[in-house]
Amino acid sequence: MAHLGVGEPSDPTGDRATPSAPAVPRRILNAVLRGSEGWTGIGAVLVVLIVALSIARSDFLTSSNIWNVLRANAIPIVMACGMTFVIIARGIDLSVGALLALVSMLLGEALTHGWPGGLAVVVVIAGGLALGLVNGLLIGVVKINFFVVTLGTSLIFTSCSLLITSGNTITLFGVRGFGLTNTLGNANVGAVPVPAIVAAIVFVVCYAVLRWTVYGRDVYATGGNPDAARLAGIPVDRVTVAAYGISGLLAGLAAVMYTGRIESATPQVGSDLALAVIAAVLLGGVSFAGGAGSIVGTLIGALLLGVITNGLDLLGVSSFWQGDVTGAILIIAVFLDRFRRRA
Amino acid sequence: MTDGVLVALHGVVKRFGPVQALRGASLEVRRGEIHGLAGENGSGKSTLMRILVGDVTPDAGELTIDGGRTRWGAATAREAGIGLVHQEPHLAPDLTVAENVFMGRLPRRLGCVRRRELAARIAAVSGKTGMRIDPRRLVRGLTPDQRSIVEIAKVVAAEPRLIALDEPTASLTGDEVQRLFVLLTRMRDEGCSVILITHRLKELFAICDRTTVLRDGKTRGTLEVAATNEDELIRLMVGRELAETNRAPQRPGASALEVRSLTRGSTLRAVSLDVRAGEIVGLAGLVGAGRSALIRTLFGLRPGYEGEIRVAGTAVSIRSPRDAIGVGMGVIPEDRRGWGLCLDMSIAENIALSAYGHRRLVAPVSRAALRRQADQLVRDLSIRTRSVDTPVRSLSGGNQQKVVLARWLTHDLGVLILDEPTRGIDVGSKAEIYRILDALAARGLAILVSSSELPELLTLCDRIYAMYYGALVAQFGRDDATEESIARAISGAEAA
Repeated sequence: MAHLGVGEPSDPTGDRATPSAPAVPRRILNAVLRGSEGWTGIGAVLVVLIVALSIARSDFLTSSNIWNVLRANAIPIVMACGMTFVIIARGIDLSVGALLALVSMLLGEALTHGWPGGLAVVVVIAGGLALGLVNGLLIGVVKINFFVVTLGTSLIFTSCSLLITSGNTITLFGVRGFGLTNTLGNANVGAVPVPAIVAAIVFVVCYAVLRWTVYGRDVYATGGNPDAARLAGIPVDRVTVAAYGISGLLAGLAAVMYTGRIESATPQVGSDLALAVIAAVLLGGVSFAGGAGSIVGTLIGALLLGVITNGLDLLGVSSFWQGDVTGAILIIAVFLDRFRRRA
Repeated sequence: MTDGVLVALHGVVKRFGPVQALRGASLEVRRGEIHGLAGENGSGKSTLMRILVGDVTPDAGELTIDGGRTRWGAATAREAGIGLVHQEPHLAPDLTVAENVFMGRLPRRLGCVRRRELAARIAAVSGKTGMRIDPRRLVRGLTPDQRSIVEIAKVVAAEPRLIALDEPTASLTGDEVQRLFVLLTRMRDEGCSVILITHRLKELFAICDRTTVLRDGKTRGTLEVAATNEDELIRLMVGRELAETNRAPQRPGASALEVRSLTRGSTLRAVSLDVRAGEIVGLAGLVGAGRSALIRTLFGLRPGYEGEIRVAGTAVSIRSPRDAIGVGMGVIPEDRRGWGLCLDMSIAENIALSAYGHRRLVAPVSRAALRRQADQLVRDLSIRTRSVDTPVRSLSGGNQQKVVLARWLTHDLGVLILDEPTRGIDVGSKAEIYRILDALAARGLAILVSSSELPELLTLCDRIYAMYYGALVAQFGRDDATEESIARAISGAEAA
């Protein structure tokens, strides 16, 4: 926003209820580039990419490939939904990748020790919630910087997951009680992958919470202007704690899906998973500065990353290129986002 | 006298690090009165208000509400129905106007926001406050004056028993100020108490019933407005008499700054003006009339203009602040904290800031020389500080502004441009800044001052341009400039 305050043309009475309507084509272009939700631009990129890939590869727009993309990206989508709460509340959660590894190891341990499958799943997801709340309490109540806290807990979670089996992978194939976990991560209902269904449910619930509940609006208020929120009587501390709790809970759920998908629990989950999730959220137009963005953008951002990976695969390009492409798109997207904010 | 007192603060003490903000301040506000709070900058007015609403916890002091002692805190203030309109609007940019107005009090059912109920409530608030902004718009897209209006609506919507406003009129246009005063008067007549902080004494006399004056963190007295005058008030505020600084007529020197047909989109329309050496020229206009756009364009913050800029008779192209500094222009921006100063750096470093850019890359910067220079300027401008190593953050607004001024005096300067040079600055420092500008002009500097306060321009300037909708619509000299004539011009009464 303009720091010098005044300077834009305006009528001197200052009361502009409605902006004047520009010509229709420009309006559409504006709506795409500067949509108030912040995701229309990246949505257009996704559409263009899908059209281009459909033309380039006849095997792209097939139902099996589509389900494949959704199956592969259900886990980052679930985590990104949680991350959206945190980033809108003016934070960042660097620990979700390590948290996923730790929860996955706990689940593996529980199942190999003969816990009933349902109980084990519920308990470890609750464990994810608890770990997220630890982040939240240190940040929201003890008031330690979020970057420091989640970086620290990320190191701790990674270390703990290595300690459990001295770094070894727990194979779960055929273990009694693994059925539910396996279903969540790997099964199909008809042609539809169960993980995609889980991700869809998580997305819809998160959308509703952010958009229609008082808690959701409080998250925007907290991130947009913490002082204002506090003075308005919003329990800013609790809102923050809850945001990290949600992130932990969903990372825990993602851990179950991940464990089911690879049929084992391993401490060696890519530590860049957290960064990929953050990239998806920022791609979707959620502002690093807090208070702005929408979970629809997060979904589009995560899908865009997934489609890029899939497209490179189909085109026979080395997957090592993936980082270059997504990195460049991320920087360009945030750069273009500035023009929207000036509006 | 305690009869009818709604809120009383006694012996309030607050220290922020090295700064003693309040040292025994007291304030009593009766039911159904408009109570002015006056004092120079740094006298503790804003701190006292933030303590009242529980934003800041005092080190000592007593709070009495409805005759009973209570604890300090945000919860107490909320329960007692005390609301504060902050100087800087406290709004969340990506919530709508309606959601901001009812922040923390959204109508809910089962945790969900009741949109229809919200729409009905915001319509009622808009009716009461005269707010004419679409409540579904995001605050992000609002102008500063619109945000101020939303901030006021937010506090009014809570139906407070006591509403405190911290310089609400600083970012409002004349019309909006009038509407605000009508609203406040009506609220008072309905039994609400009002605390109004303002630097404009005229406003205190226009609307307040009583006024409390703070100086150096202490209460110096509470006056019945009907039984006092501006002189007495100023005496209490500054603790000394103020000398009037009306400039003697000047003989303008050679042309220092010439602007011809400067145009930039719809913000600047064919602006032509002259400032001569030794002259102080004013720029009057309402909020949004294009004064800031003109200044930013002249200083290279908005490249891409059409038209001609000549400095000291030579046509120049200004595409960045570096270009502007290179041809001998200096600017003092409206927002000195955001643009003018590095608050956590020392006075000496701040003064040297733009000098760094003009040394060759490898030329060593002598810290001792910079300190000597800073010492000299601190004395010349009587900046009140213990040492030039003091962080600028701990200075009062007036002294911060003098640091920005001092920086330009280290340059070989031909033109100095100031945007709202005394916004948020107390009466005493204002007079000092006027004197400094006067002395600079006498030394041959050409000065262009943009201000929304007409009395300031009338005191300071040899000539005044009136700006309306991006164009200069009138020019006034010493003899024909009056508050009425300029006010007519800038409100478009004389525009074609």
